[in-house]
Amino acid sequence: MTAVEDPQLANFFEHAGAFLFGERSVEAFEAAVASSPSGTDNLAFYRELVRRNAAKILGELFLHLRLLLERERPGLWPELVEGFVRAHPSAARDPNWLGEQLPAYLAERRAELELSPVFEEFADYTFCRFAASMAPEADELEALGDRDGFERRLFVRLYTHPMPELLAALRQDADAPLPDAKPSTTLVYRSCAPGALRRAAGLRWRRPDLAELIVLAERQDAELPAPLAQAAAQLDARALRAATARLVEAGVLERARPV
Amino acid sequence: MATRPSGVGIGLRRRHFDELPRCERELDFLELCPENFVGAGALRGGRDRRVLDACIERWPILAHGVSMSLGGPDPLDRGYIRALKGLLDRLDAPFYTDHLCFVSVGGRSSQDLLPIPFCEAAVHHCARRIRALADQLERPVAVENISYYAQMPVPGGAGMGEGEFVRAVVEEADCLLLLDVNNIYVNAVNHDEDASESLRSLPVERSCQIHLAGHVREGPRLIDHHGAPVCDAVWALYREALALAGPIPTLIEWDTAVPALDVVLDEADRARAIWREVRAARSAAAEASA
Repeated sequence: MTAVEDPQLANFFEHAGAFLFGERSVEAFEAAVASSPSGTDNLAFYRELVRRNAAKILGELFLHLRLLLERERPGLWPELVEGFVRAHPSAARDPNWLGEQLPAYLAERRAELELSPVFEEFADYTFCRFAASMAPEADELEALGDRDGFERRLFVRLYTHPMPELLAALRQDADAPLPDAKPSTTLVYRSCAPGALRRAAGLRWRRPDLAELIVLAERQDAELPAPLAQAAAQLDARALRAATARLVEAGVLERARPV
Repeated sequence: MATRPSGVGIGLRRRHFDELPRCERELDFLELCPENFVGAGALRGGRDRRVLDACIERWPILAHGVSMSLGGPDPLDRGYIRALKGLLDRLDAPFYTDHLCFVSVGGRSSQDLLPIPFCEAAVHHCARRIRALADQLERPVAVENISYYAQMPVPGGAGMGEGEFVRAVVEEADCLLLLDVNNIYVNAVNHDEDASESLRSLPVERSCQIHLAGHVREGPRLIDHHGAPVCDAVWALYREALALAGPIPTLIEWDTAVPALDVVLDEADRARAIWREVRAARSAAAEASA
């Protein structure tokens, strides 16, 4: 119904894509379709616009990561953006979702570029905060199959460096030093607690204790790793109820799961 | 019964989320970008949703999309359109607007509004997709005339002018026009055309809304960046557009380096003064001829 029916128009789009995303020159595009009535230079400007859009979107969404990389590895950010956009083409409607795969891309290139894991973790922390802020409300999350909103509103992460503290430090001082390694499990989430949206759009972080992690794993129907399973066996129901209550109070969970 | 906005509105932008719900200045309607409120098949939540709900209580709200890629080759996204319809129903939006352009190719988004070749085949292609979209949204669709920095190569070589192309699409799709006055001006300067003639070449009689915005000069061309006050030449063209289309809802767009709310509302006040003048003049002319 809505596919391109005209073969010449279909041919135009096929070549336009390659031109716009930097895989074919403007001259090759015009040779394959026709000359632009506005001239080659003006037509070529569209490829520059598409390139600029990606750089602007990623540079604004990952503002503190960009500033950190510009400080620690001058010249690397533009190269990363260009490589990332080529490696991870996005169909995202909301431009910010273009950045969803940036943490994975930084991890892929960590060894080759001799990058600290701080950068990929910081990209992940930044994107989790953005995604959590946008996640649907509980009723809609329930309709999507998970009222708690794991990986939408609530992210459980094991970071090797303290990400929340790094963001806070860079907001205060762009020259703040990189933190020392200090592995920890970190919850990044939008609080469900009443009135939470009044501060920082409800965005919070928390380092859960063992009982809280076990509660979260059960809520997510995730299998407990062996060490956690052993520890879980030693916690009684009262300890788990108390952990649930703490998570509800902190807005990590909306409410205890009905029995 | 859908709420028909009138007068002059502004875009609903995050920069103003704290103060807008408490705003006491004159403001007739808001326009939002649905891509900021709908995602993954559901309405987004959190602070954005709270602000939206607060604004729905106070003003009519229109929705203006940027990603439908109505002229593009990729299939229309039924899942997104279902979620979009949910938002439009919630807003009680009388129509939905997007751009007469393409955005995505082969599943890749350019995050830009790219011109379609101005040719017969593209007219049929766009009209078919606009009709399909209106059917799925169960409300009229209006397409915006975009700013373009180059005409795309026309396959087969038989091209037409922008005005002729937009008119042909709008008539074949039997849809509405969102008349962007700044885009007319930017295109006229960039392509060495007369802005008034360009305005008159568009199907102005089908306009349901007007957009006004600022632009910036970059080297040899004007860029439609929505990051500056409306210039005098565009104000003059706006007056001309209103005289032709009648006093239809008008929106001040400010999307880049968004300034304080009062600055945007000052622009809206200026538009409203012109809007009221033109409406009064048309009423007087109608009474005189009755």
